[in-house]
Amino acid sequence: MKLRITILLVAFSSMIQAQLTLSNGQHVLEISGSLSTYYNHRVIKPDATNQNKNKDRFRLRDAQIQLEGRYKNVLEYELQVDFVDLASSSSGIIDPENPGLMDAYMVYKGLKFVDIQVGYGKLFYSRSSLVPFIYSPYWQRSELVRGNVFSRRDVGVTLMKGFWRQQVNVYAGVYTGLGELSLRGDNDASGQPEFAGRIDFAYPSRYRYRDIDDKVSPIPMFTVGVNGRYANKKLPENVGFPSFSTGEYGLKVINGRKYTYGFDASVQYMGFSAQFELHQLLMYPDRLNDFLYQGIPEAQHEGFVMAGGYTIQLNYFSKKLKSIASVRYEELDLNDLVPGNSRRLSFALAYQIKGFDSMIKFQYFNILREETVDPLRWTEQFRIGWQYNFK
Amino acid sequence: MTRLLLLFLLFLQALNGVAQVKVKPIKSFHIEVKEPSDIALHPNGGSYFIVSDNGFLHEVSMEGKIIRTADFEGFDTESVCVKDSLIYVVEEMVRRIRVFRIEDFKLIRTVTIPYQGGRNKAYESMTYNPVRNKFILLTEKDPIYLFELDDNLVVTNEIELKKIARDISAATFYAGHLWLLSDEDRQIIQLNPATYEVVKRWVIPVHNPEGMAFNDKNELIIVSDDMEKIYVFDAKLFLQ
Repeated sequence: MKLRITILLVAFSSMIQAQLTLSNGQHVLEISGSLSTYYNHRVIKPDATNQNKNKDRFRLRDAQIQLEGRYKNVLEYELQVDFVDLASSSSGIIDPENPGLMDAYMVYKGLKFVDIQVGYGKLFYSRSSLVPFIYSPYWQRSELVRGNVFSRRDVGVTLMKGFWRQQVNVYAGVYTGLGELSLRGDNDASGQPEFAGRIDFAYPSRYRYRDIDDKVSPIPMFTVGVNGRYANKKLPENVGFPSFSTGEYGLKVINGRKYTYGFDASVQYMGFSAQFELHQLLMYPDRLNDFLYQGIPEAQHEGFVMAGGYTIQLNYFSKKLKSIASVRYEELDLNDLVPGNSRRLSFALAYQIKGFDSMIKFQYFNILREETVDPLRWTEQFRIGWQYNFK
Repeated sequence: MTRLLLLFLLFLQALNGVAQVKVKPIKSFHIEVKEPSDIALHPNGGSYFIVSDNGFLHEVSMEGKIIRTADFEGFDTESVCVKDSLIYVVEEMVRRIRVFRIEDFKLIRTVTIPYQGGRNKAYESMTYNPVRNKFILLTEKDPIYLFELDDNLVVTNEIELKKIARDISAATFYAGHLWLLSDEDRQIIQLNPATYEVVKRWVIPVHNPEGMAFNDKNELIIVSDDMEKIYVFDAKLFLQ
């Protein structure tokens, strides 16, 4: 019976056209959204202390509403909310990959020489982070870019400009530096912002922030980008950062100077595509007893800590089979003062019932090696579910 | 091992290109218009009209140089067509048709045709179908609707073109046939103008094809938005 209902729902989804646009001739407002849900099976380590029962689950991942508007040719705005994460973030923790409030910004385009974005939204840092999740065959972004190592969203101001048929794009901005936690409204005691910038170049035409070559490009296309960010958040004595703002690994905000820089590249041709992305964090914690130093003597750590990693993804889109196959490998070193790093392998298969708007997605995760500072309960995961966008 | 990998890659590539005829352009060149979204031939055959995503209407030489620009800034102009002495320009987001005189490039009429679909999935192409004596106006995708309009731009009929392509980016009439262009599928689709049934399809090696017109030299002209180029094909390839 359940199978029949599922088949019926999936078949019905290909017939739904749910987007809605309102216009008075000058102001255009579009309402769209997305829903996604999956079943997750984890292979738990054969360790007696970890044999609790929460290894398998159903999860509602997305329940989003998006309002995108434009007034004449001078103003654009976007408001995107995920109700799942609004409901679950009451505990104080905000999922950086999928926060309750996803976008709330305005872009002023009235100045011909530069566009200005103000409000809360994605930072123009990391190409992979900028690719909308709905265009991915995966159920989760790579650990490096999903918001636990560096923040993906923040409140601030971004200046942006495209050149040469948008083949060159430049972004520069200033933000609170607290990332997704900036939504709480508290500043941190350092009073210092974070600065970020990005430049990318594409050839032979502009290259959108997408991973999959679903148009089966007849010409080889590539893009490369470099980006960096800087914050100097030195806290007064006996004062800490707002709860949860430092993130799962304590890297997103540090007491001291932090430089983050990255490189990314993407190519696509005839349905094949590949991405490479690298990030490095160079941190100068202010206090010698900072946990980032791992209790190592100053003579050994020399006053700085590094972290970072890279991810490689290979994809193939078959128009005839309406399917995407993808494999992803990543290495992540959370602290160079601690020996070793983590290595993860993922595989994804997606079947498009109606393009990206209705897609059955399957992802397999495998932890090839884990880092001592980040032990996990599981070794493998399997996720299968349905993504539906009414946009 | 290398051979096996090569065979596997060829097999995958074959999956993306079966069951359609492939054609190649005879030449291509850059045009001065930024983000061109559609093209139509001047009735005298000596120039083109091109609209751009940023809301402008230009008259362009056969070599792609801008000759004149209308004193008008629209809102996401996506289609242009010509009938008699008038130019019809479609603004997708605000669902408007703007009518200009060819002679002086003056805007003389504006008509709004409401459509509640996605703001970038609305009217993407327009042309005149002399077989049924109607203008036709097509939505881009999700779904692809073909609306017939009378000479007063009043909608008189609505047809859903199911499974014709993933999207439609341009339309034109030539040599007794209706021709549609799909950007996402990179296809030219020939339709029977009386029934709107598909007659034949061709795959074109053009990235982001957004506009299409036939000229008086028996050439098919395709405009690429991202590349800001015109690609010229021998029209005879499509009329066999």
